[in-house]
Amino acid sequence: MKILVVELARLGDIYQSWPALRALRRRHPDAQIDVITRPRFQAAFDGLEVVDRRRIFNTQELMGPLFAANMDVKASFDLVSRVLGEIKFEKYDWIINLSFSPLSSYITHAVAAESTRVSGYTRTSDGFLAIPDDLSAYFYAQVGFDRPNRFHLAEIFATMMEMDLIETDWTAPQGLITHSAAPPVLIHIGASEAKKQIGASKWATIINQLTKISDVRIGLIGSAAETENADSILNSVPADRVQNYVGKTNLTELFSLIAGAKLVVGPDSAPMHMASLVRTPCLNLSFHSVNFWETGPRAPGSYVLRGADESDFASDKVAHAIHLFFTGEKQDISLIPVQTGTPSYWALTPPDSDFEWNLVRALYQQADFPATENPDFRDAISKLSEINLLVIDQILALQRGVDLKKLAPIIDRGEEIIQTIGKLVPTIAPLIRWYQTEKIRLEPAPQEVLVQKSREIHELLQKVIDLYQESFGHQSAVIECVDKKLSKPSEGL
Amino acid sequence: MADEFTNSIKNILSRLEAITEQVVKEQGYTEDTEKLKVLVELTREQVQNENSGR
Repeated sequence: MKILVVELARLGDIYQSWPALRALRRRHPDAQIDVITRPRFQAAFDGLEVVDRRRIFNTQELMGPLFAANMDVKASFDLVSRVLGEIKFEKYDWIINLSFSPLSSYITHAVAAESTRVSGYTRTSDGFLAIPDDLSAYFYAQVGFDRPNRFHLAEIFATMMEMDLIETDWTAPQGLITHSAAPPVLIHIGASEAKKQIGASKWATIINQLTKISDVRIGLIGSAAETENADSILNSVPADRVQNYVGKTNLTELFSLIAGAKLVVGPDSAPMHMASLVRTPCLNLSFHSVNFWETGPRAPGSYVLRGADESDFASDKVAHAIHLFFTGEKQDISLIPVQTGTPSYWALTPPDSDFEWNLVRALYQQADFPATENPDFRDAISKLSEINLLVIDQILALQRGVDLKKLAPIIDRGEEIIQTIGKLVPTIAPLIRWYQTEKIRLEPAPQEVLVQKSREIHELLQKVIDLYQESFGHQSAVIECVDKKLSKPSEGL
Repeated sequence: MADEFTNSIKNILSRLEAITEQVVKEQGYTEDTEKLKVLVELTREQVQNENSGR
């Protein structure tokens, strides 16, 4: 069996996919497992023994001719054709696209043979987004900022590979770790995105506070791009207490440092995900713009401290929390601990997101639907019912032979209103996104087939609506699952 | 310098999009169109940075 994993994301996502790739190898010990990655990030596969071959998607090389004076589109086109042709020639049995991006969906479709099974985003024969598997549909509808998903990315990746993770999937890179005299505390001063970054002066204040209450040695880690920030920090802290590794380590050396440390402190970033693999606990300073329950540290003993921005991370409190890691005393600020099992984080904000999460579980995991008397939700259900029944009427008319041109404007307007209801009432948004994603998943087919399938989706939506309308005023905590057809349980989640 | 690069990328992107649109109009969605779409998306990513877009 030949399996191709499309992994065009950055370092952090690649490290988070390691456990899933190991699980895939457990299930398919004799398979050829290849990955597509980018040159800049391919070193993140060093030490991952389960990957047979890296196929490099070299953006700079492929785009080079576009930057020529005459913008040579044909030359770039030929390069893309060659690279994709070589991959397609392999005739992979299974392609798993972990990248969830438009680019990766086109690449996945372009390299899939007719007999290839595809998991993850791809394209239909007429170029529209195709979402062939239930887990990717879940990802499309419910994962990401401002969405109710509570599963960690590592489990989502594993579920795409139809596997449950086990403890040994989280292990250090093979043959790479050397024993180093790493400082017990490593502080990652950078981040891949500005929105996750903590400023040099904040780090300097935290370090100064820490050196006052603890004699623990500290190391700074980061990429060459963060050298200036490191210098700025070092100018403001006791030089004999802080060792600077910023810009001085490759990924392999960084793995060894992290494996030798007792604690990694920093934002949501690649070193945190490397720490998860070598089981070094983390103190993750996480901003509200990041869903820590999706990408937070996984090493036992890790904690998340959440804030809207860096001003929420009081320097003395962060320093004190680091100090308590080493004294073994109970943490006395509101840190969120990582937990075993799935989901790996339970303490979530906003606290009223439980309803949305339970609605997601009903839609995707055959859990009971959560009851509510929330007036906004009630109104939204009522409006949704009105519009959905109107759309079903139009579809029935279409099936009776009424001209599509007459009905299409009403159906389109109905879709617009359904979308607006989802935007205006956040609690109902998971249901609307489930419905919209199922519509997107309709594959190219003759019109009568598409109309019938579309009708089935609207009828399923109506079953949920009816269930809620019947439940209002009944004071029960849950509503029994409406229809087994609605919920296709995603194994492993 | 960064602005110059961004403008250059945006210019390439709009020309690629125009070419792709023309090809889709003339040939429909074919393997060749798909390769052009790959180039378009590769370029689009550069406007921000090379990322998964997740």
